[in-house]
Amino acid sequence: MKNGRKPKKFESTTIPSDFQSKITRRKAISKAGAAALGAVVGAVVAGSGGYLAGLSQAGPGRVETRTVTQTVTQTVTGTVTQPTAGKIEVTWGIWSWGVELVQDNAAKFNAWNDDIYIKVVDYGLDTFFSGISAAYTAGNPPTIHYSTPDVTYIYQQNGWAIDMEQYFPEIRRYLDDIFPGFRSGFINPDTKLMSGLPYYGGAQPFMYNKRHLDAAGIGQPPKTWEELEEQARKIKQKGICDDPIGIWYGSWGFVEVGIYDFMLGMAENDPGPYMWDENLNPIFNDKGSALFRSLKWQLRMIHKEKLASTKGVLYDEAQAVNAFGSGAHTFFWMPDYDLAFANTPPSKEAGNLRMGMNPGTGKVSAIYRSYLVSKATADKGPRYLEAAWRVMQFVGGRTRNGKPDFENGEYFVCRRLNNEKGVGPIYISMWEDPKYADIREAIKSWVDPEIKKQVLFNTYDFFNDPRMTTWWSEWWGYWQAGVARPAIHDLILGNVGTSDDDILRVLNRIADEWNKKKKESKTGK
Amino acid sequence: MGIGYRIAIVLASVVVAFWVLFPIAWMFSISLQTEPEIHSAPPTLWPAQPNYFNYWFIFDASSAIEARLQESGRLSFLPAVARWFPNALVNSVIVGLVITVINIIAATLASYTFTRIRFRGSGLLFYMSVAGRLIPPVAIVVPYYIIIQNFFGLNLLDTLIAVILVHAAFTLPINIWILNTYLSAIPPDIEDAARVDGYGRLETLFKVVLPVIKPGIVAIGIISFMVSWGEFFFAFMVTQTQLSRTLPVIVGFMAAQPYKPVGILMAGGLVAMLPALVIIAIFRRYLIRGLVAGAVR
Amino acid sequence: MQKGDLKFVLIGLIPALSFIFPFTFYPIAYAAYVSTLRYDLKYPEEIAFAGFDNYIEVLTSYYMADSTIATVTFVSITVPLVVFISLGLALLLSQNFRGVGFLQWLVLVPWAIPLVDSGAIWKWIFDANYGLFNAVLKSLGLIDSYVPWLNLRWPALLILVVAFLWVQLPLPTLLFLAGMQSIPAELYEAATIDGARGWAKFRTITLTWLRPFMLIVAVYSTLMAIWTFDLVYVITAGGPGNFTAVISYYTWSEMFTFLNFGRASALAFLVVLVSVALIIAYFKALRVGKIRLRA
Repeated sequence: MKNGRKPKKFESTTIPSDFQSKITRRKAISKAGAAALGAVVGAVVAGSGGYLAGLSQAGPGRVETRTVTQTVTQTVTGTVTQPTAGKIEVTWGIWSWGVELVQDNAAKFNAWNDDIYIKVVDYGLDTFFSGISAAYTAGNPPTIHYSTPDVTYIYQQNGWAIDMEQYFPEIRRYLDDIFPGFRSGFINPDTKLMSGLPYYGGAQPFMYNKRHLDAAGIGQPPKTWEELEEQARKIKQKGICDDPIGIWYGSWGFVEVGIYDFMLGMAENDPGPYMWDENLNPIFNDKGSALFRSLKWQLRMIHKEKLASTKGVLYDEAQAVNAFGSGAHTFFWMPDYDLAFANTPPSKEAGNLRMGMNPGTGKVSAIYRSYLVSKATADKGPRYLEAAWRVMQFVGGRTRNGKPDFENGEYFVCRRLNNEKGVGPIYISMWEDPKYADIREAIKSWVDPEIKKQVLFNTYDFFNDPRMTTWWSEWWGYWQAGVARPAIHDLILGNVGTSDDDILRVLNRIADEWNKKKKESKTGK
Repeated sequence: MGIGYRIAIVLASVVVAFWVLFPIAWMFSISLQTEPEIHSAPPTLWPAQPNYFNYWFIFDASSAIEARLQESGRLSFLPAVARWFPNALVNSVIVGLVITVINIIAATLASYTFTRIRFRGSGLLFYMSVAGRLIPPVAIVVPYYIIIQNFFGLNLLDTLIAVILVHAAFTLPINIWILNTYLSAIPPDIEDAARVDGYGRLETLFKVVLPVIKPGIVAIGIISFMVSWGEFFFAFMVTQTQLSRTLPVIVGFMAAQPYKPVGILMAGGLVAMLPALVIIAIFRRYLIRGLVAGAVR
Repeated sequence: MQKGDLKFVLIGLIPALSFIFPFTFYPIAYAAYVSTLRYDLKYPEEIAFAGFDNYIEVLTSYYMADSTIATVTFVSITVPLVVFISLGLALLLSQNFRGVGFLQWLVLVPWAIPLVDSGAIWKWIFDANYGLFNAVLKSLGLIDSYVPWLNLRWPALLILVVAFLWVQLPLPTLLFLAGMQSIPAELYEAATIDGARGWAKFRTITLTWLRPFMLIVAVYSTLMAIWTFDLVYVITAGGPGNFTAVISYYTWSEMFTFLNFGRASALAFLVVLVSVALIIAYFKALRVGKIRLRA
């Protein structure tokens, strides 16, 4: 190689001009300018093209979108395509939890039914709502899919999902079998019709580590908040646990265990509402409000008594479960199905954890998930609607061998969810009917069924009560995750002071932001 | 070579090695522990009895779950998505290698064209390519999805081809830029001489230029593979079923479980880096044979 | 352009550009278009042209001030660190000593680990209940009980910086190394003949030769720092309060949490504007006048 080279150029002692960076000032600006210009020009020129393109692609302009997109995207996986060989395909939109169980259930259904075929589509865990919304906007939503209470109303409001009762009035029969505190979660508040069947329901109850209590010589879990403080102090003094009261602030916003469970538990003689009045004006920014009281108590526990810490502010669900499950805290509040995990080997404290009634009022927040059917399915015609209803009864209702049977069938999928994943059902008959004795047996390893049942009867139904959580206000997401959550976190962390006035100041600030957003909003809801 | 120099080198090397290896060693230790051991304070530095369950799990999730179910009863919370781990590993290797080849060929060609041939609009073309990379990926994820869904009439969603296309689109610009830098610093005299001798452009490129810019090509080879190897966002958006998903997506799914299995995650991460390390090792042999051995004395 | 060059230009550019261009115009155009829309995914029937409303909303929003401070802080700490440390590393790796080959390979190892794992391990090291960092501090007697570091503002930010460096140093180091290895030996020989010593040689030859590489590294690491989302999401989720909620975290939140595509796109474009401005600044800062070999 070296032999073939021309005589070396760099024998002089000054650097040849080639060596200089080719980037002089003028060129620099022009180059960067060209980059910017290129981007802007590209944007503007194609922007108008993009506008036109936007009309024919997924995005704004829904009516034209649907027909064009559907033609163009016939073969997109995850859409409801033409049935293969006479079978009607039903797409089941799920999030990534217990996927293998879902797949197995779908396979069983497919084996039992030769005219319907379930295809499972996984939209991810964090990206579930955005994925499904994008699918709806593009005109190819799944036939039936999961839904969480915070967005169910959005589907309904946009006309994306239908009320099953409108087409199948017999669905109402299931309502009586649902625990009273959960019923309104499955009813469309506008039409008063039942929208779908439950996927599951549970609570976010109070839990404690029995081993810690035993070691401290405490026999019964606390019934009041004063008792809780006493027991925590004893446990800490004996060196059993350094951080007995585990307050977890959740990981997705303002509606969190650390706020709602405490507020509910301390709301003696106060049936609610706790957050907003009928006109959606804040009522929590007041020294007498339950929220104020609970925040004040928490701050005292953390900063003065040192019986709790700020660790829970940043736990995600995995850390919370791991923390409680490995004995980092004695008292905890989290979703009931998480207890199944924490109380099963190889978790460190497996077998030592117990569920209890919330100190104080005993009430805790409820959680549930439901199934919704998309309007696109209804548009396809009665055959598809029928198929969707049959699938819904399989996944959320009573069937026998995969075929709907309200009188004698069993809650097939619900039962498996409970027995194999610890995800509890909210059908009362599953708790009381001897036919379902295995339900109670299955969970005995990690929770006392009686307690769990009691908890379920004691949840505060606030999901459909706009005065507790206004899920459907358009500024909700922004407000709760962007404004309220960081503000509360700062308060708990002690960054803004811990006096009564400080608390009030924070509450006022987030209330103001709420009012501001409410005024600006176009729907005023 | 003074003593001071030697000491400095040794010291620096030790610091660097520690900086790199310490988290990895810790990951390794965790991957061999059981969950109770992991969640203990003070943490177990090295398990008394190394437990290989996590590794067994990522390679054969199904039977590991079976075994766990047998011993603990009916509940299992292990991330069954790990069943796709070996498959994802293969996918990532395929995509990575294809991307590397595409980059080496296309970027070299383009770079040579940009730096050696003056033509109108060359600057604009180059900067437009780079401009595409200035936008945060988050904002252009939806358009990418749409493009893939309707790529000149083909629906490529959920295929490895889609991943390859997308990865190529955003590794090429920076690689072209890097090679541009390389080529600009090399005087074109030798090539001119070759041209005079009758070599065509393509021949000149292969025979004369390539050997000289080898370190640059090696660098972009490594960069292409590694960027593609670790890319999560777009690989996730353009795929829908686990069959066509790449490693970062599967590992991401394992981590996104409500019950994050720390041990399994660490095991997965360590195994996930092995192919990449092999590739780097292969390429690196070409790197050290640089033109200069020892820059500053 | 010489004769026959046109054919070569086509051969040369078509492969690369055919990959790049389909993914350049439409996405940018689309994002630009969406940024002028009031586009809230939860209310698709209310999509309407809204001009610059999104931009104004974003700039005056509750989080903009916090986010800008967080981003500026983060970027101004990490970018210089990346540039200087990787330069130093490359210098070390271009020396000739036994084991340098292994070290060169070693330096690239963090790059091979999936980002999710890197984030997870760094978060775990500083975990409030079981972290190694806490354990070490306690055994040294520096603290009484474990501290939730990620709940404190500056520690959380610094932990992010450390994780970022660990993950990002490989590429710039590689670039500098490749650059250093293309410096012709003759330059150094000539300089030595002229009587220049170590530092002078480094300053006038190495640094100058590497200037365009420094540009790439500066631009790249700035973009990476501004776009850093994965690490923030995994390790601090925006940090205590909003302290580490860098702008990319908010863009992501607008897009996937608040589901407001319009504002997310507007934010993205603002980021682009800032990036372009920074790039121009870098170009200017690194420009070179006449340089002389003589020290």
